[in-house]
Amino acid sequence: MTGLDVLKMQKEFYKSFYLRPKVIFRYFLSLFSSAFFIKFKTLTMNALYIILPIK
Amino acid sequence: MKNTTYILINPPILRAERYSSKFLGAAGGSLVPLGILYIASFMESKGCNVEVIDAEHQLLTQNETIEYVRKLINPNKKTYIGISTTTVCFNNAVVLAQNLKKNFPEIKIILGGVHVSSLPEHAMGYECFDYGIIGEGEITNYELIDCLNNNNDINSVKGIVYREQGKLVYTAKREPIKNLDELPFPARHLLKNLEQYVPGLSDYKQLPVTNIITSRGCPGQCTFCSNAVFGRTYRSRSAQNIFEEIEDVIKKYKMKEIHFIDDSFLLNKIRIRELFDLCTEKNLKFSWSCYSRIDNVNYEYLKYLKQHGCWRISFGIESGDKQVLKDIKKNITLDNAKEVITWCNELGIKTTGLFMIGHPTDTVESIKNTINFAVNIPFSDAACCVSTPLPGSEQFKTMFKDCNYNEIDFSKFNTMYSVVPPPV
Repeated sequence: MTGLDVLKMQKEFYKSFYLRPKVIFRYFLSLFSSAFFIKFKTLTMNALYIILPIK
Repeated sequence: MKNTTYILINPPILRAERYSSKFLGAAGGSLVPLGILYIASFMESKGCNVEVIDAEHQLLTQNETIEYVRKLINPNKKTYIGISTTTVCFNNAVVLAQNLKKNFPEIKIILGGVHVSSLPEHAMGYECFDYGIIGEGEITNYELIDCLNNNNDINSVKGIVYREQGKLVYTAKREPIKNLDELPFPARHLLKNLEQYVPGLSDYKQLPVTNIITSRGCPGQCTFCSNAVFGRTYRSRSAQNIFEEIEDVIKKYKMKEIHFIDDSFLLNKIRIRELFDLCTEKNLKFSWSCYSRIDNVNYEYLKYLKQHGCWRISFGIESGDKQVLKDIKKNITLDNAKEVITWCNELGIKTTGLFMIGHPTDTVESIKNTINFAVNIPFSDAACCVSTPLPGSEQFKTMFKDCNYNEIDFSKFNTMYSVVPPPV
């Protein structure tokens, strides 16, 4: 396994965890709750792992 | 000590260097540097004038840090400079110390932190550092400076390494501090803009928030963990002592939330119950989060924690593969993890599953097991970093056994690179 393979699998981890209908729905629901602030921050943080290119 | 100034520096490092990306760096937040603040408060308690420069948090460049130091030097006082650094920041600490030596050759520079404690021969190979502190630094720093001020025999100070005629000399080993209650609270008053120290985006519920540490040492045997500074012996502060610090930060700095950063905050159930019973008795209200091992909690305990302000617990799971868990000596079971996370969900405590991939015995299959485990357990959130053999860990000792440390690029040891990818 190369270092790049490990980083690709790290991205796969975040995609698999955060891009699930259940999780996206939970975030959608949080728009209407007091948990919005926490959810929004967490989503922003983890979305970066999914969006940013692997170096 | 009254005619002495000790300038403690957290060296400059770009957020992009620490997190491998400026965007992740911006989201990553910054914690109050408790290590140097504990040393600062201990030195202040002995009458020393202390200044703290958190160059990383203040986004200072190397030159700006030097100029900052220049302003703090009082020619009428003896001045020492202390630099505390982790492994990822070590190269920056060397550049800073070399520049400081060029500008202020008469000032002694003392190096502390996890890198010199783990690899003293590598760290002290740089002549810009005059003395290295191995292990906990509060008492050692004080005794070293007191010794230098009075021209006493340096060998009488335990826990230091220094050069004599080009060779490294180690003094006797410093024992870990037994009674942590004896230490004064971290010198938060020496930081500029305390309210700007905010943890990562997902690590707090309300602001202002500050981090507190209530114990040192971890009895765990995890092969990836560096225990070079605090060691394996678990020592904890008393409930009364922690309560007083919490009361202090709430009253003095108007904090609304506490982020406990102990490796395993919940280990001693009696102490935790004493602490939060005291907070309730004194009507001290705040939200809090912490880190814990899966096997430190049960349903009743979690219920109690939720009733006393706990909003989130981050659990170190590390891998979703049984064999890898065994290989890294994590000593937890996945069934137990599943049970605990389900309880937290039921009780309304948010959970973060902390995972690592790229362990020495990881395979594509075992990493897939980790992903499947994270996805199939009801964690509120999950984080995954790359396993890194930090100096001081069993993994580092095995992987870099016969290596020339000068050939290792330590700036890559930030858990965002795969320093040594798994062989399979």
